[in-house]
Amino acid sequence: MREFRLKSLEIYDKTELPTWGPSLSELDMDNIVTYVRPDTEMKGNWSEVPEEIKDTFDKLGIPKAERESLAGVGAQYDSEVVYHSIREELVKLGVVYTDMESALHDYEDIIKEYFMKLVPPSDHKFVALHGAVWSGGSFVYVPEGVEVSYPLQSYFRLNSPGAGQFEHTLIIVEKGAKLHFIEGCSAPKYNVTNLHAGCVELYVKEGATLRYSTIENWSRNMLNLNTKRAIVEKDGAIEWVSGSFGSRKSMLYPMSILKGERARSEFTGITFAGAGQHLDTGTKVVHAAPYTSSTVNTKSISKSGGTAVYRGSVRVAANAHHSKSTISCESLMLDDFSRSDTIPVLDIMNDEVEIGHEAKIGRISDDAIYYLMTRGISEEEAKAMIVRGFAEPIAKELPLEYAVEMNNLIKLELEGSIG
Amino acid sequence: MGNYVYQFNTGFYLETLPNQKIQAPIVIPYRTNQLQNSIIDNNVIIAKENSEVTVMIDYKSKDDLDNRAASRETLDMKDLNEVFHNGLTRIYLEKGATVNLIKIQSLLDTGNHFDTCIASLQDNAKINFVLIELGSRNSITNIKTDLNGAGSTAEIHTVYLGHKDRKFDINYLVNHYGKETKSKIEVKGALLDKSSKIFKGTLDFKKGAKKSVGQEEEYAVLLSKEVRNRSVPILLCSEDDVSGQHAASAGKIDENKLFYLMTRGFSEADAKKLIIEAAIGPIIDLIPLEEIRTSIYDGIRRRLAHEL
Repeated sequence: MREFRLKSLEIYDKTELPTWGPSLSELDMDNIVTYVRPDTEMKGNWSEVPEEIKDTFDKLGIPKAERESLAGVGAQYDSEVVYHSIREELVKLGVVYTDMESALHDYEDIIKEYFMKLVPPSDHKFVALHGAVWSGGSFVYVPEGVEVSYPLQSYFRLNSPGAGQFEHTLIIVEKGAKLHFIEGCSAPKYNVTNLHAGCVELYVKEGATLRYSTIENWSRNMLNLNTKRAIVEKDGAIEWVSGSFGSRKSMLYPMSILKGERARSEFTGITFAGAGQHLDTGTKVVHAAPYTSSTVNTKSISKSGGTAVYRGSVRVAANAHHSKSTISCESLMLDDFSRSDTIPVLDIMNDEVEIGHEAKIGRISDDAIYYLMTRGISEEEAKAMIVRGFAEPIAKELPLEYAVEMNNLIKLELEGSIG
Repeated sequence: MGNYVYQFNTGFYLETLPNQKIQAPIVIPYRTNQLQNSIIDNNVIIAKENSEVTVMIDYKSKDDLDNRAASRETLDMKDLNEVFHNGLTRIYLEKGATVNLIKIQSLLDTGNHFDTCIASLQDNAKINFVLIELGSRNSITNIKTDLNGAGSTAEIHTVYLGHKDRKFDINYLVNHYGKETKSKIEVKGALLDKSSKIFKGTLDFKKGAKKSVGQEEEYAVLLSKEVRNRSVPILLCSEDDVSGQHAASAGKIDENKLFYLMTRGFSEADAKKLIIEAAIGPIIDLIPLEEIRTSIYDGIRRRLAHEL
């Protein structure tokens, strides 16, 4: 592992910053602490977690959610996982859910086979950095044919100022298995720039289904440069649900590689860029086998000078005949000093395909607001209602507590800013 | 301006009078032949207030459509292969002016074709581009249109047909600066054999372009396993009171349509031709001259049948 880290660092030093997307010039790596150890060991029992950390997570509703509806929970505080638990019956079925450090020791062979094979450090500068300094994260292994009926959840919290979080999530869903994984991210606000350069590698085997839901609500001083990738074998399916709200700058493009016949991917995403935010998000799909299909459905909202960018690509390889892809992007601008861009790329190397792309940019129509106001609804409420309606198809896909959080967030964002 | 502007070997300057409506299309033929195998044209169109003009520029290799098959044996192929075109057309539209610019490119399939159009529009001016890209091994075309004046409109209608291993690189940019400006980009084409196409269309709504509307539509018919079709329809927006839309689709010919036509007695090749013509017909019909339309359909038919 040390050799791997050194090699990654070498690549990091050699690789240039991306020449596109939001400017990352404010990032000063010398001021980013790559490893902050929380003052505690990892606990398997919530009551043993130190008061201060527990408090933070309690406010975020993590253990409560676990008691009610989750199969397992992991919580990472700064650079290390502080809490991990999993339901007894899943352990019996052979499901593994643990932190990456423990997995490194307990499941060495699997880690060797899969770790950073899908996202090699040579991919781009920040994944090289990740390879060099990664710590924490979750490891999930679902054996053949096992259907995990409750979602598993990991929550990442970055609490130290000027710190970077570089967690690594590795999920392997074996043949015919099923899993829903939820990832939540947040951090309090400090005046220094924080960096998040995590990496998510998802292996979806034959006939398996993985749903990966994320709500990223990092504080507004965060540079979020996360890399997520899934490889899907024959008849497998990956479903991404992605909400990007926080951070100052985000560059986040979860990628699906449809490697096996009839593999499919679904991407549902929403991005909300408020004051001072530049959120450059999207998705990438590679159709690398026949009869594969993909759906992309994104919505973005920008307001108070925020910039929301959809940047995506769908590529159909020469052998991926009878592939289908539908892409739909919608943008809503709430004022005239915000910005909203849509940059989709379609690259097709085959004739037996059905590809459709659609995008729309616009504002809330005055007629709609006027109509609602004639029905006795205030202008403010009418706008909030329309925005909620716009976001509704995405909210539907989110786990309940996150959907509530999203709606609150939208309400919060809109309050007092419209008038 | 760079030096290159002064090294053109042909070109024209056209200036209308205010309020002048020129009914008949002005046709500018540019030809390559054995003696002159390069066209480097520098064209300027100035449309004065409320004037109206239609200009048709026809780039053609003389030996291509008419004599090539017959003279293939006798012509020195080397000369033919070096067909080169690099053109620049600048169009200035004053208030209320309308310019219809039609460009037809059917250079030899071994040639190189570079073309740039730049248009600048004042209040309520309107420009319509109709571009027919049939020939050239490499066809690289650029259009930049600045909708500066309030109420100005730009339309770009393009047809392309790729066969053999020919490449198209199409790049259009419409900047909406003025209020209530309108744009429409429509690109339709078919790709055969090992041909490839990149289409990059950008609608940029600048701050202040209130009540502007932009629309972009692309449709590619793919007729071979070995084609490559890339589309990048970009919407950039820093103004909320606008409406922008784009749609792109690509795929093979609708099998139901094909089957229906074949049950009516059409051969597969004829049915395909008919479907393609139906898709691009509305654009070709924008060309006001019958004989030009016929020759375009002929060029398409012969390329689809690999007679060229």
